[in-house]
Amino acid sequence: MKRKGLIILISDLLDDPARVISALQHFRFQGHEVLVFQVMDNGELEFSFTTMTEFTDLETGQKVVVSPEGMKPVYLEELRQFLNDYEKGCGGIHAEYKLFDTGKPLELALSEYLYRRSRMG
Amino acid sequence: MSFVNPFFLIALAGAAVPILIHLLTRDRIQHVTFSTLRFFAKGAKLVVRRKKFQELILLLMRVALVVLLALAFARPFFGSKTVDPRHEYATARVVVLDVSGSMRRPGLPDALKNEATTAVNSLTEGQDAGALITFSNTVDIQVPFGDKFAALKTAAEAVTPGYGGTNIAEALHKADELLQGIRAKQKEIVLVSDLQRGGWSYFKGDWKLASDVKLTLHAAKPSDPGTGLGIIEMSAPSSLVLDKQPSSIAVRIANYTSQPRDKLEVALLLNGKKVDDQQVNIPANGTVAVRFRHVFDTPGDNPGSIVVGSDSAAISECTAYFNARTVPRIPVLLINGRPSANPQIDAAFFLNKALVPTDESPFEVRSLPVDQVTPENVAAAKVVILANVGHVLLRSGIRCPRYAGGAWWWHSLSSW
Repeated sequence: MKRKGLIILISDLLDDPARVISALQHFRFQGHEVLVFQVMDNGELEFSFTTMTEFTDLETGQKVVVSPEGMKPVYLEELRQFLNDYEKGCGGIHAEYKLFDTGKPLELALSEYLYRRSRMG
Repeated sequence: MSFVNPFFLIALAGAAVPILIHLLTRDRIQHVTFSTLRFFAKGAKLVVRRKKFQELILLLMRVALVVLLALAFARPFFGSKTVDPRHEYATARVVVLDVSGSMRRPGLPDALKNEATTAVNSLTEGQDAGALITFSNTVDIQVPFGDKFAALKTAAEAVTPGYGGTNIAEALHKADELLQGIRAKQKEIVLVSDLQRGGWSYFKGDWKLASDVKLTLHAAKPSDPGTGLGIIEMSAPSSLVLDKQPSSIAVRIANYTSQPRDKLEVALLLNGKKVDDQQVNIPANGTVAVRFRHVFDTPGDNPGSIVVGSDSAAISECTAYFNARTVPRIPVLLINGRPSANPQIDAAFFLNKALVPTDESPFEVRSLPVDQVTPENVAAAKVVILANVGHVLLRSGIRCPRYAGGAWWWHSLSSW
């Protein structure tokens, strides 16, 4: 890409934050503007499970049985740390970061965000 | 180990209840496909193992609780060998000893011990069976039936009167029950007591001794004949809230003599000092009720007593003791976010009624609408209850009392 452009990344970003941020940094070095929209399911964000549950990893197929009442604080703390890494990492390379809950219509949230951004100049 | 009330062991079957509840309510595992396990894969096994361990401990504790309750009601005992239910003894004897406060009078403790020892020593090991019961207000089986008498002799020699009342009928009833569980040519109860008439006042109903049971009385006579009077019933408050309302302390006094007693002084003492007295007349072989009204205005314990007769303070049956514990009322501020003239839709109305159902409630509730609450109102309260209150308080700059747990959050408080 020779001309400066706008890069919009829409992903659940379930990867190593350091690696993702490092990749995005290349775009920033090239002078492109970078917007990162992380989308996560409401169940992933709030972990609203109440009974003993066997979770199967969508990508690896790995299974684990969990008691939600005991695991919820651990999960939410790990998740908070994970999201925080992305937010701080994006801030560090001057890329905009926004977390979206898929429980809300993405197109509406996205258009509202872009409209607000355009108003800010 | 044997049991005084073995039929209560049926309740051991109740131990199956927590097990059934555990099996019926244990978690069913649901299966969920999830985006990633990276946030909990490390601790999952530990948490599951800990939860299963906690559930197991909880189950064991519930089972143990049921078992212990059943055992407690069955009243296990350890001691001399119990009787053989198939063997027929020559004599089965229950020695029933009065250890009420009146048996502390001069001469009676020794008489009690001597009569008890005599009754036990006249039994023959191998041929007879013996048990020993003591009683005051309540009945205690000190030594259950056995045909080895070492424990029986030790208990008879160690018996000493206490400070309780007298419930002869209940003691005889228990002795009769014990005798029904044993085979013997002769069944007998040896009762050692000063036979206070008041000792029969608890007896209600038409129970009587079994026809094959012989009752032998050993009436213990004190060297001091006593007054012939006794307090047979008392009613006194045990817990009060501090206010200016007088409380009642009442006693029923019996005259066991054939002479009427006139102008008998009855005194109310608090903390060892006389605070009130009355003069009463009691007919011969009759009773009279005496009631005092007193305002307990000192917080904490108020030990007191009622003494019948000016010269009988040292005689236990003429003195009844009580302790009225008074606590100050707790000021509660009930802030009503949605007051209504219709109490059916006013949450604060129901809270107020629940906290102060009667004048004896330990709470003093002040109910105010939100717009009338001042920082002074809040500071004066020990407990602040917010009923349907939103964010208004914070804007008013009102701070809750510093006491931990001093505020209750009622529903609709999401805006805090």
